[in-house]
Amino acid sequence: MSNAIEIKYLNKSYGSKKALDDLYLSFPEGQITGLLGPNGAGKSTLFKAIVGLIRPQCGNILIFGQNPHWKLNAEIAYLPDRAKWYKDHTIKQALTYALNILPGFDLPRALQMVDLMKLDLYDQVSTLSKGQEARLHIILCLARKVKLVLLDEPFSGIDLLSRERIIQSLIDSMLDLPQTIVISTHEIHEAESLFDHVVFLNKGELVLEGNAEALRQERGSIDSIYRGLFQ
Amino acid sequence: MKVFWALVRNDSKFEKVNRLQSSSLNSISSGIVTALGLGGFLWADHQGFINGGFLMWCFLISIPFGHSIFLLNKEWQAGTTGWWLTLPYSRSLLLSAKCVASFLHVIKDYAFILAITLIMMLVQYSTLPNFIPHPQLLDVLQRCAKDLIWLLIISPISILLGTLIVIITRSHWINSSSLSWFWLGLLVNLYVAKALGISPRAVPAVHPEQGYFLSVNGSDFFTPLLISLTVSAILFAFSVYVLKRHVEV
Amino acid sequence: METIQVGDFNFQLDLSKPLYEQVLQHIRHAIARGDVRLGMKLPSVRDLAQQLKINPNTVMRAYQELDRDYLTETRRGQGTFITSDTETVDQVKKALANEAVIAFVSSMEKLGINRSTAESLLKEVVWHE
Repeated sequence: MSNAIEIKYLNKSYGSKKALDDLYLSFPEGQITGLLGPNGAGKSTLFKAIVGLIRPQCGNILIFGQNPHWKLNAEIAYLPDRAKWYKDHTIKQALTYALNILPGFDLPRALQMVDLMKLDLYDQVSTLSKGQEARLHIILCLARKVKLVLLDEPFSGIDLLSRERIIQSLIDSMLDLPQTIVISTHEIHEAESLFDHVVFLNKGELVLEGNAEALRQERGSIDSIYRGLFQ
Repeated sequence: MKVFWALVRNDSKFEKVNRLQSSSLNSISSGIVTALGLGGFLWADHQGFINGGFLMWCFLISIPFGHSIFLLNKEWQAGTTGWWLTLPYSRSLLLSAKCVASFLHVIKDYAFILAITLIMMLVQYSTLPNFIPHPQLLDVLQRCAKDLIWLLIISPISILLGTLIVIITRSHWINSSSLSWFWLGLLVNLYVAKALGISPRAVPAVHPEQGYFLSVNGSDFFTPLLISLTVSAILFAFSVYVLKRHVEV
Repeated sequence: METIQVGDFNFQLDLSKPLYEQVLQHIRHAIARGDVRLGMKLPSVRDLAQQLKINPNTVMRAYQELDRDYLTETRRGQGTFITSDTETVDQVKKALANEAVIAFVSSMEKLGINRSTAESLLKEVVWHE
């Protein structure tokens, strides 16, 4: 199977602190990969390097065979860490903006998701709860016909119902359009049954990676492996 | 092009946070504030204990600078840089949309100031007794408009100066949005205006050949415009470079 | 572990074991036991993935395996149907029974119990028939 993303000897440090330490790994194409690790493991830094928000000191990133570039972001839906959307938009305005700005944005699908996610088109973002706003972010990412979806902590700090709705739409998205999806999280229990592949990071280094089913066979649930590695 | 205007529209939308009713309320209240401010200047000018001409000059010159600082900084303050900087467009396109959005706001503000001035003028004239000679309204309009055109000519420099200041304070060179940089930028901005021949109006005397708000040396628009655009282009190129190479979010 | 009912099937998923095998086994056993009507349509991949909150790839893989055993038949654009052939079901049932017997024998052997003792134990045990 080919890889959507290949990371080779990637290094990034902030001052004396190493965020990514000679990281070498790959994400298989067409699968859902869980990028797991405690806070400060380097998950967000890795995503940011892929979408070009930060510049690694050395190493190489290949996304479908190409180096990160703003043009490549047309094929990547990225949910930033602790993302916030423009407060002055209504949900409808957010979707219109996305339609105008983001290549491959599928408005009918987005509207369908708004319905499914129980959001109101005329609500203003500033009035939304954290969970509701997280659902809007997911719509803005998943209603795009792109090859790669990167979700940085989509489940953190939101209510159970919102989490379930997000998982629902991830499953739908997988069925409607073959995509490579990478989800970073440190709340594994909810999402682990979604993963085809998992990658464990700690302190910017790769700790373990593998097919989720094979790892279950060998070592038990992903959640328990995580606990074993980090607690 | 469609993308560019969509970006500009979104970038310039920052005022309409509230619903329609309160936004009309906002514009009424900001109209009142401006009128009071202008009235205050005129009054202070009249009394002679504050140099109203100087304050007016500072205020008018700082409008573009303030707009671009606010508009660009908002992206960081609202925590939306992750979306903004990962849009599939070059940093120069993203920045130029911000600058155009600031410029549109500047035009809107200057037009607003012009309108308020004329309205106040009309009100003032209607209260003047008949035997005092009335200044020609058309003349006042002409002088105001000329001042504002001069301000528009130098506004690209102010906008780019504001943009550069925000980007530098967000780069890993400085890594904090410190206020001293803001004041430095403001001073440079005022200095640039002065260097291009736009000075505070002499107070209290108003010479007929002077502008209405300001005192402008020279009547040739072309050379300052050329200087303004060249300096702006350099500032823009430098801002894009810093944003590309030295800003990480 | 909670039981999730999807159509006529009851699923209990244990996250510490491969999910694909569990989905496969649940459906296989349900068909072999006769819990579900032959010729019936299986839940769609989307429904099953949604209800169980698992990766649709996992469901698809299980359905492909069932097809390979001729226990189901996937018709393009219509879905996956359980076979109406009782012979195939009997074969699968027999194979599952065999697996169970082999497992039983191996655990008896581990305990050091010989065949005759095991057989007498089997006779004594209560069968819920």
